[in-house]
Amino acid sequence: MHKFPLWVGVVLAALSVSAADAAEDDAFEFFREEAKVYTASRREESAWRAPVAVDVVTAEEIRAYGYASLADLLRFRAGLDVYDARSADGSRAIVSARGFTRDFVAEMQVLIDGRSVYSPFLGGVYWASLPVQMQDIERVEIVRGPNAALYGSNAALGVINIITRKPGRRPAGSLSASGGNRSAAASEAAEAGSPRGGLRVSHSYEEATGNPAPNGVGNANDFLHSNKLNLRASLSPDEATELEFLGGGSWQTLGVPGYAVDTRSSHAHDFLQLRAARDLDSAGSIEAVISRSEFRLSEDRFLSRPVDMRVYQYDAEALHRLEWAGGRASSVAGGSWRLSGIYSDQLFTGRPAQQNRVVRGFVHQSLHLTDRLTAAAGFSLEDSRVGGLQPAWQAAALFSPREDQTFRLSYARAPTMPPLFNKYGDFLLGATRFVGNEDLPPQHLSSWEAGWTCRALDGALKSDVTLYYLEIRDRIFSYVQSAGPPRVTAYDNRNRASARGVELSEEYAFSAGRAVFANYTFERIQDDKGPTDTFATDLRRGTPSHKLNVGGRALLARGFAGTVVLGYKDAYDANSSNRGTRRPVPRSFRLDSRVSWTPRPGWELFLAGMDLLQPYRVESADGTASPRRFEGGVSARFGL
Amino acid sequence: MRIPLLLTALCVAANAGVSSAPPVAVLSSESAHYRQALDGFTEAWGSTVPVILAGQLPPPQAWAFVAIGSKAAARRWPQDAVVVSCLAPSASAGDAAALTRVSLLPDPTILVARLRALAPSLRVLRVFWSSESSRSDTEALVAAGEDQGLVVLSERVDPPSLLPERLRGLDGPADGLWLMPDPALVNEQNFATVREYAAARRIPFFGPTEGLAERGAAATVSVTFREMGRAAALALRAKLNGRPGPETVRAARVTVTVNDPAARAAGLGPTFTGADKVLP
Repeated sequence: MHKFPLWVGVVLAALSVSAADAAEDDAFEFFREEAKVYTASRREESAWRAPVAVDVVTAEEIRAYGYASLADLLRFRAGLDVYDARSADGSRAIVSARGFTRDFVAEMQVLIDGRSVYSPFLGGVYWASLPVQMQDIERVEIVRGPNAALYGSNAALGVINIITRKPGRRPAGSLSASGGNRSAAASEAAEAGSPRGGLRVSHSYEEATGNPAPNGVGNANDFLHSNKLNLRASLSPDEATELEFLGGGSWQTLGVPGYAVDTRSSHAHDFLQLRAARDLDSAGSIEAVISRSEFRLSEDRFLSRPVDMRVYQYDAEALHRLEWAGGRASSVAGGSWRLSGIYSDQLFTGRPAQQNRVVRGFVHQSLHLTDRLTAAAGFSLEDSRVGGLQPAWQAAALFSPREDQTFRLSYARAPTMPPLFNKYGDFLLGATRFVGNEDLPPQHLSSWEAGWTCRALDGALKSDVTLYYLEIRDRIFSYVQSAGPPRVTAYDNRNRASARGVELSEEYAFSAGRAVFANYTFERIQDDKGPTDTFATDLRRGTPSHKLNVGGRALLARGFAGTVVLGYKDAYDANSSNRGTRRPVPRSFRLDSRVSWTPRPGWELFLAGMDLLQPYRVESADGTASPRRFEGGVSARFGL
Repeated sequence: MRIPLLLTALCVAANAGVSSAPPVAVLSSESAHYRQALDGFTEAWGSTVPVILAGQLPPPQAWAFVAIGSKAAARRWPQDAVVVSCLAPSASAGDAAALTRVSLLPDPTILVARLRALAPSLRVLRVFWSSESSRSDTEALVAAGEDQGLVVLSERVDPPSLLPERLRGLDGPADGLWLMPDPALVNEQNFATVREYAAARRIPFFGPTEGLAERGAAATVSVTFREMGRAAALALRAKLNGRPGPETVRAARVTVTVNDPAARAAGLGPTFTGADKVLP
């Protein structure tokens, strides 16, 4: 009997496996291709085939886990560092990607519906004061790693893109109220529309007694009264055109903890935005956005003296998306203009009005070289008052040996513009004078990244592994220029820092409403300067080396559902450059859990507990502790 | 006298030239499913036709088109063009006033009849859909159900990510589940979600394309891509012959495919009346 060589059998077996896979994939291939058209018209991309690490949080997840704030939403995601921290000017959270954690992370861009909410004052974001409500969020896209070629400077460590809900085409609304041992909140929203357009209005109110002192007792003057109002209107004069108006604001009064005398700060952040988009049949689509925003801060004692500040920003952006070469190539090209400025008699003594104009052009190209290999590249050229002419670029290769697996390799360079205060500030605070450095050039970040993304078991299992190395040249730090009196603190950039890390993420949805996830992050930071920064920040220990989060959600019987998340953080040093303090934080666990009951569709009663393992836990250098929190509440949704 | 005659002759010649120009097939991409529909179209048309991809310009004299896929159907058409689209669930008349759409959904009357033959105890069918473009087909299915004594309850899931929550909140009876051929909704994850939900309640889960039976749906009632291409050819020829017909047309031939283990687990069988294929 003639025997087939072994290799023939192996090849046949491999072919039969491939053929079976192909037949199975066919069941969804058509819908997948058609869905690309659907999502492309909404300017969405398939996250699992993005050239950089992307994590998406959907509205359904937000509701299931009951996230009460953006910080809560981001806390347990891979690659992010989120601390419950209070800065000296009323910021109530620190969020950073891939290390370099401090009060204001100048290297991270945050967008709400495409509009930058990055503050040009100190760099970074006033998270609690953003004019966006949790009930309005449709999804949050977290891009880890540089994306300056598409989003402009300051998108070096990552981009967080918050996308809000468009008004539906039928009347709908929601109401919710909750309360607990540390806060109370209420929100309401209503929307209505037709095939031609719609309108959504939402409002929320929150009142928090906030964090106690580090010993877990007493009131640390950490309170919050917050009102937020948002409006979104859309109009489609024809099938291909969409016009949108977005507007809203956030008005808050906050206690600033950590001082001997109670300090109060008020924030007001409002915006207007107009967006027009049109599909141009075979010529792709065009989109134009103009917006205006203003942030006003008034603090009765900024460390020791009253401070008022007004930050404004005008933006205009136009872009063109195009698919060509039979769909094998896609291009995005555009240009933007920004005028941002600040006015403060106290922070910019003698020259209270400071402005920055930015003009930028960018192009991004993706090319399917073969069915399995895709190349992507982007280039951006930006000219600004604070940074001069700055290029940014990125290049990536994606290899998909199978439909459900993608390997990616990318390199990017991204500039980070110095914040206006570092450049032009002049602030006398007690015996110290802070002076900007007008010669301060931008920071430059280079990043190498390799990743693997896989979907298996009918897409129920999603895996992502990312390895990265990044280097920041010309990193900005503060130093003592003269011992005084007054002591003069200035800024310089003769520094180099680097970070390397691994991010692992697994998610398995084993049936309707039942899913588990786990992610692990390893980060190591090197900093030439070490702990010699005037503000005592030591970046090398500023982020935990190891972080692990595991959690899940489940639909239980009789309308009950539950979620549980356990997070672990290694020890680190909490930095506050804003306060000039540092505090060692031991390793810690955090357990959050939530149980809800849905007696009828749309209604929900819930009980939630945060930080359940200990009565309080210190995780920042702000002079407060994060306490154990309990909340309960009810919500009703109609027509949504 | 000679000039009007010459003009008339030119007009006749030009008109003859236009009407004799073959239709142009516009494909969203080179993917196999669009090619299958093109094969069906060519077969029913009786001859090959020029083929272009969605991003390419058609020949200048072209005025009759078959658009295969939503991306192809979404392009801007020449004024007075005659267009038939198929495999394009997101297509709408838009700028092309003369667009006729071949639906992905089988004739609802036939669909309901085939489902009832397969599942005689079926009384209440829950139908899930998401995109606005699926609304008219869903309403047609609800109406067909009413005519045949089947309660078809429409369940819109918008955005599609809310499907698990929608299933969780489902109240009232459900003897079967149907997923509309809506690209926004049909994906591996949602399919698995509905399949698990149906399996837990021992009710059948029906799908609109044959491949879904291979993936574990109890049964599918579907029209092949080739049949949709054939229907597009017949619709285009009728329009060119001055019979515009309805805005939405449906392929005549319907295929019922049963996944034997999944169907039995859902309480169907042991015989599957009207099944064209039974997968072991």
